[in-house]
Amino acid sequence: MKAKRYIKLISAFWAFAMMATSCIYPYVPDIESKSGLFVVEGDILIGEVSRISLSCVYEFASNIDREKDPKAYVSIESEDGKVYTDKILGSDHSIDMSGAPDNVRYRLVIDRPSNGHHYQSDWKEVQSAAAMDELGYSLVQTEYDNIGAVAISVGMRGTEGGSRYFRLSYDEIWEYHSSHRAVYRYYMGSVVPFTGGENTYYCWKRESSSQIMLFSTEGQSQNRYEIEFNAIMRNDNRLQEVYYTKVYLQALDEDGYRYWRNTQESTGQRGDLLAPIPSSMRGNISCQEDPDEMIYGYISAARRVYKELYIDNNNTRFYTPPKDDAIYTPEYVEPSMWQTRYTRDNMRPYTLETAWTGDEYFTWLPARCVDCTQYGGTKSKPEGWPRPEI
Amino acid sequence: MRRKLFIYLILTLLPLAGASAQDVLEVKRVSLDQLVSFLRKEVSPRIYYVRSDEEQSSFTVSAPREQFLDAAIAELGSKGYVTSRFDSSIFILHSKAIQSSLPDGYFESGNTLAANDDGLQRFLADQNNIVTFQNKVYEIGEPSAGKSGKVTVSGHVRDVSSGEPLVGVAVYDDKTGIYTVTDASGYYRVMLPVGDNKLSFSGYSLEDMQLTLKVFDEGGLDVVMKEKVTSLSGAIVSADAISHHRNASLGLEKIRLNTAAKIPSAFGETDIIKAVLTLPGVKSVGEASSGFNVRGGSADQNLILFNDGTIYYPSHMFGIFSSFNPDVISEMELYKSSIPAEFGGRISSVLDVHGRGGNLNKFTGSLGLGLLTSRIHLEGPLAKGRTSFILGARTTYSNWMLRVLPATSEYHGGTADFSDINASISHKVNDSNSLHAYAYWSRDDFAFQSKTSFKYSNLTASVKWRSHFSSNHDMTAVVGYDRYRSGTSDKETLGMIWNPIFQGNANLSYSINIGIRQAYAKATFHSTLNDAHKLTYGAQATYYMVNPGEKIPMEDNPFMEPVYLDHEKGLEPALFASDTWTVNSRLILDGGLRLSGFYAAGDRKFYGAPELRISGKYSLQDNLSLKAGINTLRQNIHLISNSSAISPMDTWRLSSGRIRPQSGWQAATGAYWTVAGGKVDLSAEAYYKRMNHTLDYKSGSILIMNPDIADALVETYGKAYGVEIMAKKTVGKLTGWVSYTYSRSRLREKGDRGVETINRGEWYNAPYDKPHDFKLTGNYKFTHRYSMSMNIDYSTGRPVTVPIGWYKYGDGMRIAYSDRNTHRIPDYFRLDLAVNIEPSHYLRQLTHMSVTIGVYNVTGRKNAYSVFFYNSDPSSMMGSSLSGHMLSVFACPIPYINLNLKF
Repeated sequence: MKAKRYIKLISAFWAFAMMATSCIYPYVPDIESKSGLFVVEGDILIGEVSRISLSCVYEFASNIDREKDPKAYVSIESEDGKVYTDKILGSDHSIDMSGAPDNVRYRLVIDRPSNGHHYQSDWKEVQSAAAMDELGYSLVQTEYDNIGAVAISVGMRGTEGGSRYFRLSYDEIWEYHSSHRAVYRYYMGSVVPFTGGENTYYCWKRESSSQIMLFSTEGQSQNRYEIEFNAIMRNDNRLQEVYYTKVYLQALDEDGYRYWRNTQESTGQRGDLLAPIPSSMRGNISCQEDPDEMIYGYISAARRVYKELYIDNNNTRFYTPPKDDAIYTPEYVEPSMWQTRYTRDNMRPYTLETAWTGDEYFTWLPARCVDCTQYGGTKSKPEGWPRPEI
Repeated sequence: MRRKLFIYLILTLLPLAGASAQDVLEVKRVSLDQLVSFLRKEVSPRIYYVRSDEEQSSFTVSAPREQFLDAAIAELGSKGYVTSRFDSSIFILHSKAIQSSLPDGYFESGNTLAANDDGLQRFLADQNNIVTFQNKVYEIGEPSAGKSGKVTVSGHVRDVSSGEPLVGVAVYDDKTGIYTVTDASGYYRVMLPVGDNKLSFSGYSLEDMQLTLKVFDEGGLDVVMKEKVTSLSGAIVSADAISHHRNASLGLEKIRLNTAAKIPSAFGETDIIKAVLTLPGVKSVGEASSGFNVRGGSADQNLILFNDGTIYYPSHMFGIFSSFNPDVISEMELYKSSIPAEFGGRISSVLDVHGRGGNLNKFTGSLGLGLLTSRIHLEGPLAKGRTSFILGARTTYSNWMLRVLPATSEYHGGTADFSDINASISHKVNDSNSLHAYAYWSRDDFAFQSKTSFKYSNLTASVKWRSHFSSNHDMTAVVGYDRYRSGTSDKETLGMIWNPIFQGNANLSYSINIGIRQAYAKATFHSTLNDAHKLTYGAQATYYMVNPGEKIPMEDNPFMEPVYLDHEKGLEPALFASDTWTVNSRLILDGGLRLSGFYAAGDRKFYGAPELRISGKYSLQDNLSLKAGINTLRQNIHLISNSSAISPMDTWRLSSGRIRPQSGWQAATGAYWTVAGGKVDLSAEAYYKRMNHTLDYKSGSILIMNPDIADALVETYGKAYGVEIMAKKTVGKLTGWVSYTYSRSRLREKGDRGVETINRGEWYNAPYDKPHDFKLTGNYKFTHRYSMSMNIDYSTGRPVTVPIGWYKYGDGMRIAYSDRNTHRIPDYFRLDLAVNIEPSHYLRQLTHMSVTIGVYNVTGRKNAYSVFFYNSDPSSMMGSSLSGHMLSVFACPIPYINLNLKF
């Protein structure tokens, strides 16, 4: 028994030692950040509008959003001499390629009057579109808890003799609601009732996949795949009402796959003992005036395919509210304090109550209880949303 | 302690002095000197004895006066002393008796010696050719031979107790400048002038011997030497000092195991590779990294030999332990510059690790217990005096310790398991021939997390034949087979990569296996042409079979099929010859030529080129020598890696039609000065080195399972230069070395790939370029039992590629990196301390236990292994959420204790 206790003690000691000795510590290296390097993002997407974003590398401390270069001219040239020109849409340059043929090569051309440089990508062949067979979902167990998740899967197949390198991406829109439905709102010093679609109960939120999702069928007997590519926890508000996703599949050439893969791996580096040394890889865009200029970005030409999917919780009942949701009791706020509670305490009107005396008063709740926009959503309902009644 | 014993003795002896004849005499816990003194006083004044230097026994005798002598003799006998009587004199000797008469019929029996006669006849016969003590004139050859000039004297040097051959013992004569070193079988050969000679034998941690010889003709002279135990303040010249001034080799470092044992290591186990890292000019990329870098070369440019077999991955547990079981190691030699012509195949260095041969006289063994590992070894004679074996095994129990980690730990689900086995048999066929068989196997299996595991394994097996054709001509022939296998198993799914909260469909699970097999044969001949020329020549051939990768699906996957990259095969033949020309006692020149080739079977491509090995030594004084040398080397097997440390994921490739052999040359010069009466060696060496066709990777290239690997690689030039200054003390209470190295190692891409060219085609730092390097390794022996070791290691931080900014791309934050290796991690500093306790030196004791208690990284400095940035808030798209971090492998003091039991 004594020996067993010693063994346990030694085990605990070494377990602690192993944990304590190999550690990751905050460290601010003496690095001179290099900002301003040119970043070009986007692809030549045949059959749709190609969005090209021009930005740059920022210093680490910088929180500057994407730098716009509205004076830049972006166009796509085809090998048969056609030029497709851009329109500025927000911070992006949009080029309509809906009528462009697949059987010619294309390249991106950028003129930047801001520095007088001209940029070109390599000529790229249009990668054949792959086919997406199905887009489905199922309940799965999660690794660390028993809440479960909804896994979204896609089946795809590449074309015969076509590329075996693919990139998957998706856009998401979901409708959710705040925990309490407020009937009133604070407006210009008064509490007034919501009218029509003004309520802050239902919101829609949009996101795009931030992961670089690459896969290859190289080395497989068949150029096809079935992938569970996304999972949504059952207590995620994505599943609260209606969830919509649009999944894009794009074939890449081998160089493009390598570029995206390097970008993915370099960003996820955690300094592991056996990890590859990270590096930035040059893409396929070069500056005509300064061939040594480092430009981030890789331009591919492809015809994407996509599939859409709705998950309506009214039918599936997948959503499980988080257990730790705090319960807030509506509180009465003196009219004289409305402004203060609204701005300082981020409170919002909730309901109109009648006291036993017959007096009416407004109850208030924290904004996050009654205002769905507090979670990043907007009241902008997507066109064709399946619940027109909201 | 001594004072207490003395007082106790006085109190004990005083009453005895006055005891009457009828009294019982009694002594308690007295030393041999005190016992003999008492016997001389009380029993007989004519008692003579020789006290063993190692003797620390105490004696207790109690008996009536008339029986006291017999009782004392019995007590002495129990401690290994033999008592002989001649007339009224009594002689006390350890382990041997005084023969006061020749055996009956001795003169009638002539010179024949019965094979089973272990008595006096054998003893007397042995005295003719086995040197055991110095106070005698040894005669070589018959006086009637009538020879003149110089003749060859040769023999073996062995350990006095185990009979094992002693490697690297310097055999020399100060006056004539004669010098040689015993080879791996303990064999030496010198040319001595006919007449009276003095010949000295000196080896690290061995008692020096100086013999007086009368040489009449060529002949044999075997010598046995014993380990130095008591010479804490000896004033003898170190073996290293002799080596520096008697040969022309530059950059040669030797470490015997007992030196390595004193160097503190991370978990207390004696580690040959860590000992190598304490030498100047040897660096590594980090603490938990396998391999090492010598004089600006990459890790794959070192040829690591263990009993002639090639070890491709010399570490266990991703670099924490070395692959070599210290119990079966004799010593190692590291050739940093003057690489003998008999070695080839790598362009930076050769680490030649010699295993021990096994005790020829008795069965012994050892047991080592550490907190993470245990090991055992057994050795002994299979046929006494002729055949011996040695068997060693080691394993770790860290695996089950990792299982107790909580689920939240980063290493939860990880494994770390290894084991290795060594076995060898040595058989002395006759006086001229011996056979040796060696086998080594190791296995590692580890995983940082449950989903990805790594494994690798080394196997070497060889048979060696040593033959002495004549007194000036011998041969060593070896055939062997080596195998290295590594691989990884990945249970990861795409779903897990993209969204770690669920397992996903596990259709990405696979294992990748990589391997090298090689069969080799080598014959090396040594010939002493005359007293000025020693010739070494021979031939070698190695046949490589490399599996660059095979990818096997691990689970049911209807789409994934096994992928096998084409195996690569190649033959590397070589002829070599070298001559050591002793021009005079001051000037020695070494010249060697190695004609090596490589036939790449797949591409039917043959590469061939001569390799030169030239060096020279000139002694300005007996204790001051200058050396210079140049050598060229070629390499046909290449490690393909894009990680800082050697990884089991890395693949090896042979030279082919598209991958040219690496080649390099190194010019070096050095000065060696032995001061402080031969106790301290000062040395300074400078070198300049060029490397051609070394391989680096293109940014973003895929190296694993790449059938067109040449497309992913670029050829680079390398240049390295540096100065190494060292002071070394190998005798006395304080031993150790201190060194400072300034060195650079830089690379440049050879071709022009436009904007893709690494760092625009400019010189860039090699990943192991650490300009300033200070090392101190010391051991202070307070007493026979207690010593303290210290190790200090400081170096400039290694170059790394660092993030220089962030940008938005692919709907996420991405990190922009600097040019390759333009920045450095913080400087490295580590202090280790250890106390070594050897509880007893009692020779008759069945077991001897030693204890090492130490602390690795005493100051707890958080040495950076890598520096990186990551987005602490993945939902954020703001630069402020990116934060810098560093990974530190041993970030706090690591105490350890190690028990070693010898039996």
